[in-house]
Amino acid sequence: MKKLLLIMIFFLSLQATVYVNPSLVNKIEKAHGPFAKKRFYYLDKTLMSLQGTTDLSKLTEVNTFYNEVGYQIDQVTYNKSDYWATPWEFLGRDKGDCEDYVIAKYFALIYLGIDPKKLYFTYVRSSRFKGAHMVLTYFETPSSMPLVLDNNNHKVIPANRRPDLTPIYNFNGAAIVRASGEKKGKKVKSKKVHKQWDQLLIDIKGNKI
Amino acid sequence: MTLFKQIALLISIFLLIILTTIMILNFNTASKSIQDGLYEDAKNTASSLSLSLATAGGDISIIETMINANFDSGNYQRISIIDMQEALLYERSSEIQEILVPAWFVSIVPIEAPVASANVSAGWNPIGILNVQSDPAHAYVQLYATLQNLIVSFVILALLALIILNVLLHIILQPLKAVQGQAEAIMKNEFIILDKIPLTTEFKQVVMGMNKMVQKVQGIFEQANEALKRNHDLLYTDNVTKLYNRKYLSLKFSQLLEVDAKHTKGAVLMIAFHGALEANKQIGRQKVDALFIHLANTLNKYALPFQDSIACRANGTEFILILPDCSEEKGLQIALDICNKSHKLFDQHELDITQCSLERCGISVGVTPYQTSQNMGEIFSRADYALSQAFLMDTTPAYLHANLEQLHVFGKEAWRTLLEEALEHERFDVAAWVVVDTKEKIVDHNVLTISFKDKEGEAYPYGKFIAPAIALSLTPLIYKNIVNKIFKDKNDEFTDGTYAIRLPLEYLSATTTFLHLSKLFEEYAHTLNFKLIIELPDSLVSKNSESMHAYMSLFKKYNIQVGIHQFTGESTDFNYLKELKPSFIKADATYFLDQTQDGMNALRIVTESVDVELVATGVRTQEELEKLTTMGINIVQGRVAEDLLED
Repeated sequence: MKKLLLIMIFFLSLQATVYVNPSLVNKIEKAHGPFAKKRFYYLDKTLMSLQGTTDLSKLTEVNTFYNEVGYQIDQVTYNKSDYWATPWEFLGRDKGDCEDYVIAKYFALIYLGIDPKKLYFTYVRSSRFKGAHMVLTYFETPSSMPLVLDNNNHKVIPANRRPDLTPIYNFNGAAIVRASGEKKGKKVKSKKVHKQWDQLLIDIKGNKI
Repeated sequence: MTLFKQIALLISIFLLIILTTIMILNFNTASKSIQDGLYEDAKNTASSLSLSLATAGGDISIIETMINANFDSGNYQRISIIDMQEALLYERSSEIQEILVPAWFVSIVPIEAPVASANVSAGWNPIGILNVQSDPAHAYVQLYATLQNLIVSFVILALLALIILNVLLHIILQPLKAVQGQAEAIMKNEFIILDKIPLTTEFKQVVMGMNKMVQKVQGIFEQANEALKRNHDLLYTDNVTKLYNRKYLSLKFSQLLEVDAKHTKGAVLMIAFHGALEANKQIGRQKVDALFIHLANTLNKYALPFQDSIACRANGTEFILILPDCSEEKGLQIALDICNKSHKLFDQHELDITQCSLERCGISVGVTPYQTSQNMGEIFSRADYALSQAFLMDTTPAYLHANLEQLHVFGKEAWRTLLEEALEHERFDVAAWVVVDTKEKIVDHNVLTISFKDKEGEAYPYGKFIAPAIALSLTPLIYKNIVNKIFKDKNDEFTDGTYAIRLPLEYLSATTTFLHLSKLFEEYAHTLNFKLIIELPDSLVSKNSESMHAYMSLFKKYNIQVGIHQFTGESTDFNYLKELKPSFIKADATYFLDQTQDGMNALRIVTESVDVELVATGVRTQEELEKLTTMGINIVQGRVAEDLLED
C-alpha cells in the first residue's frame, strides 16, 4: 500500500510540472546526444497536449508516440538477454524491445491520469512472430474486453480483434500491492512483487538513463 | 588486580563481545535468509500456480482443486484468491500446529512468513489475485538448529580464543612475572638478581634498574658483613694468640651460666704463666709471643672436644679455659697435662726456667667446677684461689678447688616427682614480660616465661626449675605441654598482642617435636588470637642445619615469625639473616655496650638492610638504658623496661 502511494505521489508530483524534469533531460542529452533531448521535448509536448482528453485519445497518442522508437533486442542494446528499461533509457537510446514499449506507455498513461488498476502488462504469444511477446492492455472494467497497445501495431484495438495474440499472463504491480494490503496485521507483505518490476521501480527512482 | 588479570579481562570481554556480535549477526543473517527463503518459495508457488489457474478459464471449482493440490503438497500457512473487487473467492489455511522448538525461542524470534502475490487471469481478463504464505513452523526448526550450531561453535571458539589468549598473555607477560617476583623479593628484603634480561624494552630497563639496585644493596650488606666480622675479631680476639679475650669470656660465659643453658655444669681452668718478664729477657719478646701462641694452640686442642667450650687469654699472662660438661676430675687431669706439656713447650722455645731469678717460674693451673645459675664472679674467685694454691705447689702446679655450694634444695628424684606431677596435672603456665620501645614508650612485644605451682600452691619460677628439668631431660615434655597450652587454650589475655617464646634446642631436637608441631600448627595456627614469635638462639640458627631449615619452612608456612636471641655476632657470615629474616635480634646489653662505633654501624647496616630490629636484653640500670639509647638501641628487655612503662 505504501509502495502504491509512493508511486502515486511520484506521478502526481511530475504532473505538476513536466513529465521529465529539465535537469534529467540535460543529463540524457549529455549521455545520448541532442536528438535524445529533442525526443523528450516532443514527448512532453505530446503529453501536455493530451491533458484533459479521453482515455482512448491518451491510449492512442501515447501508443503512436512510443511506437516511433526503433525495436532492438536487449542483447544488442544492453548486452543482456532480458532487461526492463526505464522510460528515460528507452526514449534516450531510442531503442528497446516489447517490454520497454509497455513500460514507457504504462508510466506515460499513468502520468496522464489513467487509473493504474486498468493497465496490465500482458504476456502473450504472438502467432505472427511465433514467440513470446508483451503488450500493454487497458481494461475499462475488470470484465470488459481489454484494448491492446502493441508496439507492432499503431492502432489501439480490442483484444478480441487480435487473433494473432494469445494471452498467457496479466501483471499489474499496483494491483498486487493494493490487494495484499488487506487484512493488515495478519499478513506480512514482502516488499518484493515481481523481480523485473521491483528492479524497474528502483531504476526509475534512481533516474537511470 | 594484577596487570595480567586486567589485560586478560579486557581482551576476554572484547573477544566475547566480538564473538557474540558475530554470532548475533550470523543468526540474523540466517534468520533473514530463512525468511527470504519462505518468501521465495511462496513467490515461486504464486507465480506457477497463477499460471496454472489461468488455464481454469475462471472455473472456480477447478481453481479450488488446483489450490487444494498445491496446498496439500507443500508447507503453506495460507493460500487464497481474491477477485478484482477484492472479495475472497477461496482460501485454504493450515490449522494451528505444534512448533517443535521451545516456546521462548518462538517468543523472542518472531518469524512472519511474507505473503507473495500474483495476478490470476482467464484469457485476456484478470480475474483476481492469488496470495501465498509459507508455513513458518519448518523455518523455526531450521532456525533453532542454526542457533544451536552457532552456540556450540561460539562456545568452542570462545574457549579456544580464551585458551590461546591465556597462553599468549603468559608468554608476553612472562618478563613481568619475573619483575614482579623481584619486586616482591625486594619488599621482603631478599636480594634476587634476574639473569634473564627481557627483550621488551620497558621490562628490560626495569629489570636492569632493579638488578643494579639489588647489587648495590647487596654490596653494602657484604661490606657491613665484613666490617662486623672484623669488628668482632678486633673486639673479642687477642691479636697475638688469636684466642678470645676477657670481654668475650664475660659475654659468653654469662650465657653458659644462664639457668636454661644446654650444659648445666662444667669446669673452669685458669692458667697463668709466671715469669714473663724474665722470659722476655732470656729469649726475647718475639719468642715469648711464639710460646704463647703455641700454648694457645695447645689450650684450643684441649677445649675442642667440649661443645661450647671457650679458650681465652684473660690478660698478658693468664689464660682461661671454660669446658662445659667437664667433670672436676677431668678438669684436674687436663690441668696436670697442661703443666706437664709446658716443660716441653719451654724447651721447644729455648726457655730455661731454671735460669729464672724468680721464686717460681713457669705454668700453674687452677681448676674449679661450675654450675649454671652460679655467679660468674664467684666462679672466677674460686678459680683464682685454685690458681694461687697451684702456684704454691712444687711438682704439679695444678690445684682443684671443688665446688662446695649446694645447688638444688631438692634431690634429683624429688625434682623428678615434682616436675612429672606438674606435667601430669598440667600445672605449667606462661606469664608475659614486656619488651619496651623506649622511643615510643610502648610495648614492642611480650616475652612468655614458664612457671608452675606444686600441689600445695607453691610457685616455681623458670629460673628455679629449669636446671633440674634439663638435668632430668624433662625439657621436651615441659615445652610440649606449654606449646599445646599456647595453641589449644583460648588465651584471651593475649588477644591482639605480640608474644615471643623461646624454644630450647633440647625440645627442638627431640625426635617427635617436628611432627607434633606440624600437626599442632595445621590444626590450631589459624585460631591463634595473637601474633606469635618463636625465639631461637643465634648459635643454633646460624649453623644452617637441615633440621633448622625444616623448622624455618614450617614456621613460615603457618606465618609464625622467628626471633634470634643470645646474639654475639660470632658467625663468620651474616647471610643467614637474609634467609631467616627474623623479626628481631636480641643480644645482651653488654654486647651492644662493648661495640665500637664502627662495629655498631656495621651491625646496623646488616640488620637494617634485612629489616631486623635490635633488642637489648638484661638491661638493669638507667645508665645502661641511656647508653643504649645513644647507640640507637630503642627496644629493651629487662628490669628497667617495666619501670619505663610505669613512668
